[in-house]
Amino acid sequence: MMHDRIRRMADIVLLSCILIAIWEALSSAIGTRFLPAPIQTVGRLVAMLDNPRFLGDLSATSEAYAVAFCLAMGGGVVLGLTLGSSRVLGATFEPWLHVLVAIPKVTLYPIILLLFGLGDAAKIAFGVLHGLPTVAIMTAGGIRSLSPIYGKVARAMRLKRRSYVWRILLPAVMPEIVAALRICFSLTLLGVLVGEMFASSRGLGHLLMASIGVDDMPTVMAIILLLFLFAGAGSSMLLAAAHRLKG
Amino acid sequence: MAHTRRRTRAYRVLTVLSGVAALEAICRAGCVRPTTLVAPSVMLEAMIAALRDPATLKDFGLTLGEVVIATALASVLGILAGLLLHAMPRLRRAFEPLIASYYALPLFALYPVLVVILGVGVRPIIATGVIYATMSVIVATVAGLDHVPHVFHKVARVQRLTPFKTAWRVLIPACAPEIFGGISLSVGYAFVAVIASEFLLASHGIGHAIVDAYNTFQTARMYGLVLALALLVVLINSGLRRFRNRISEDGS
Amino acid sequence: MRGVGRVFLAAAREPLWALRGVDLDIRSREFFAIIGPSGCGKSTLMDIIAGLLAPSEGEVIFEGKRVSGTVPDGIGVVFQEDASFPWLSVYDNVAFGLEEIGLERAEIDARVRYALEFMGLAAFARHHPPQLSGGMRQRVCIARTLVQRPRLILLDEPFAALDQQTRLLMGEELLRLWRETDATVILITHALDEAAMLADRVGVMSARPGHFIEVVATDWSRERDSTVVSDPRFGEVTARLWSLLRLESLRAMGRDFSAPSPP
Repeated sequence: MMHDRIRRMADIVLLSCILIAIWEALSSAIGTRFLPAPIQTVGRLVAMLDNPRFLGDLSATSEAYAVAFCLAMGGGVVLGLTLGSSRVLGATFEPWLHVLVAIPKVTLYPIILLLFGLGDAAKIAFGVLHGLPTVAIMTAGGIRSLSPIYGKVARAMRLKRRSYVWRILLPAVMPEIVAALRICFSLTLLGVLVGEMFASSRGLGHLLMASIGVDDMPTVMAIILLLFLFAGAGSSMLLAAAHRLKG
Repeated sequence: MAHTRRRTRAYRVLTVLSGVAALEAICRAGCVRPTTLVAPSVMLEAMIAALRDPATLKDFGLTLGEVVIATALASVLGILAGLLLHAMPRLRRAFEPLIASYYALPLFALYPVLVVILGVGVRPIIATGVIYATMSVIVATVAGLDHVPHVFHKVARVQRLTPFKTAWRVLIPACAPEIFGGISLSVGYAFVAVIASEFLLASHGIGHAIVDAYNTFQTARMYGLVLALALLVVLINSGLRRFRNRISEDGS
Repeated sequence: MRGVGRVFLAAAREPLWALRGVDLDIRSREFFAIIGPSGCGKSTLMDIIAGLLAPSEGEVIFEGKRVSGTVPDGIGVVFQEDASFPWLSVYDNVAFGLEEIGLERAEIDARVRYALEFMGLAAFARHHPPQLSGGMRQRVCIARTLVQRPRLILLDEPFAALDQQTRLLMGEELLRLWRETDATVILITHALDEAAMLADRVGVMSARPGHFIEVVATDWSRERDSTVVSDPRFGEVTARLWSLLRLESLRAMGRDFSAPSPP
C-alpha cells in the first residue's frame, strides 16, 4: 500500500518532468517571446507573489470564488433535493437545467451584466450559473436512483419529513453530492474567471486579459500555472476525500 | 405511464408559457428598462430579423464549422489518447490530477500563443475548441474500455489479432456507445471554447456578433442572437441524444 | 496433419498455487471432460492449454510444439461468458475470424453458411446477438469457433448460463459437432451428468491447488447421444464421479470430510 503510493508519486513526478520538457521544447521552437519557458514562468510567478497589485487581484478572485462556490453548492443541493423528491417538479424543471448546462454560458454573460450590473455581483452570479445546474441535476439523479425501500423504512418508522431529509436522504446521496462538489469546484472557478475576463476591473481574469492585451505572455503563463496548481491540488484533495468516504 | 408523461409534458409547457407571459407583461408594463431586458416577443422578432441578415448567417455558419472541425479532430485525438492511457495503467493514474483539474482552466487564455503558431483567423479558434473537447472524449473512452468484458480480450487473442486490429475491430466497437457519449459532450465543450474565444478575443463568428451587439447597445439584437444560439445548441443536443438512444438500443 | 494433442503440464501462479502437478495426455479425436470443485483452477488450466496464460512451471505440447503465451493455430476456444459481439450481425460474428486470416469472400461465405446451418442459426443470420436468447448466443460463439476448423476445441463451461433443457440439447449438438469435425474436444464443466454423458474420458480435479486425482473412462460408442442417460453404465459412471468429487468439494469448502459437520 505504502509502496504503491510512493510509486504513484514517482509516476506523477516523472509525468510532470515529461510535460515540462515538452513545454520547454515548444517554447524554444516558437520563441520564448510568444511562449515563455517553464523557468521563466515560475520566475514570473514568484515575482508576482510579492507584488501588492497582484495580491489584490488574487484576493478579489478568491473572495468572489468562495462566495460563488458556496452559493452554487448550497443552492444546487437544495434545488436537487426538491426536484429529486417530486416527480412533477423534476419532470417540469429539470429539462431547463439540462438546457442551461448545454448552452455556452459565455453568451449569457451580457444578460447577467445587464441584470446585475458591472461588478462583483455579476461575476459571482456567473460562477453560480456555471456550477449550480450540474450540482442540482446530479443530486436529483442521486435521489431518483435511491431504492424506494428507504421511503418505506422511513414511513414504517414514522419519521418526520425533516428527519427523513436529514437522516436518510442526505446521507444516502452523499456520494453523488461529493462527486458534484468536485465538478462544481472546477466549473465555478471557470465561471468566475471568465466573468472577470469580460468586463471587470480587477481579479485574475482581468489581469489575464490585460496581459494578453499588452502581449505580456510570462504573466499569462504564470497565472495559468497558478490556476492549474490550485485546481489540481483542490481536485486531488476532493478525489481523496471521495475515496475515503467510499470506504 | 403514458398518462403521467402526457401530464408532465403539459406541466412543462404550462410553466414555460406562464414564464414567458409574465416576462412579457413585466416588460410591456415598463417595470424594467428596455436596455436591460426586452420582452420575449421583441426577442423573437430580433431573432428573425438577425437570421434574415446574410452577414449574421455567415457568422453562424463560421462558428458551426469551427465546432464541427474541432469536434472531429478531438474525437480522433481523444480515442487514440484514451486507448493509450487505458493500455498504460501507470500513466493513467499519473494523469488523474490533470484530468480532474482540466476543466477549471481558462485555457482560451492561450489564444495568443495559438495565434503565433497557427496564424490569425479560424485556426487558433478551432485549436482552443480541440483543446477543450478532447478531454471528455479521453475520459469517456477510458471509462468505456474499462467496461469491455474481459472475454472480448480473450477472443481477440484466440483469433490472434494484432493490438491495432484488436483496438479497431473489437475494443472501439465494443465501447462505441460510451465513446459516442463522450463525443456528444465534447460538442458542448467545443461550443463553449469556440464561443468564448470569439467572444473575448476574435473578430468573427457568432460569439463576436453577440459582444458587438452588447457593446453597441443593440440589446434586442443581442437577446435575439443569444436565443438563436441557445435554440441551435438545444437542437443539436437533442438530435445527438436521440441518435445515442438509438445506437444503445441496438447494442443491448 | 492431425497431430496428437498431448498435454503435460505442471502449472502454478504465485502466491497461491492454482494448479500443481497437473499431468495429462489427451488423445487425438478424443472427447475429454474436466470436472472439479469450484475454484479448483479449471479455468486457469483451460487458459494455459489455450495459450492465453503462460504456465509458471511445466509445459503444454500441442501437435509437437510447445504452447506458451500465444494461442497456436488450430486451437479454438468457447468461453463461459457470452462473447458474441453485439455490434455485429450473427453472420458477421461468425465471419469475424475468417476475415482476419484473409480468405476469399466465396470461401468465407461458404464456411459461414455451413456453420450457421449446422448450429441451426441460418434463419437468424441478419439478427444481432441482443435479439437472441442466451443459448442462441452461445451457438453463435460455437459457430465462430467452428468456421476456423480447429483441430482442438476448448470449451470452458459453455453451457453454465443456460437452463437444463437447453443444456441437454446443446450437449447433443456438441457430440454431433465433435463427430463431424473430427476435432479433439476438451470440455470443462461443473455438471457431473454432462461430463458423464458427453465424454470418452472424464478427468476429476482436486481442490486447490488443483491436480487430477483420477481419470474415469466411460467407454461410450462414438455414435452416442443423450439417451445414454438410460444406460446402466451411466449411473455407475456418475456415481463414481460423485464419490470422487464429493470429498474434494467438501475439502474445497473447508470442511473436514472425516467428521460430519455440526448442524
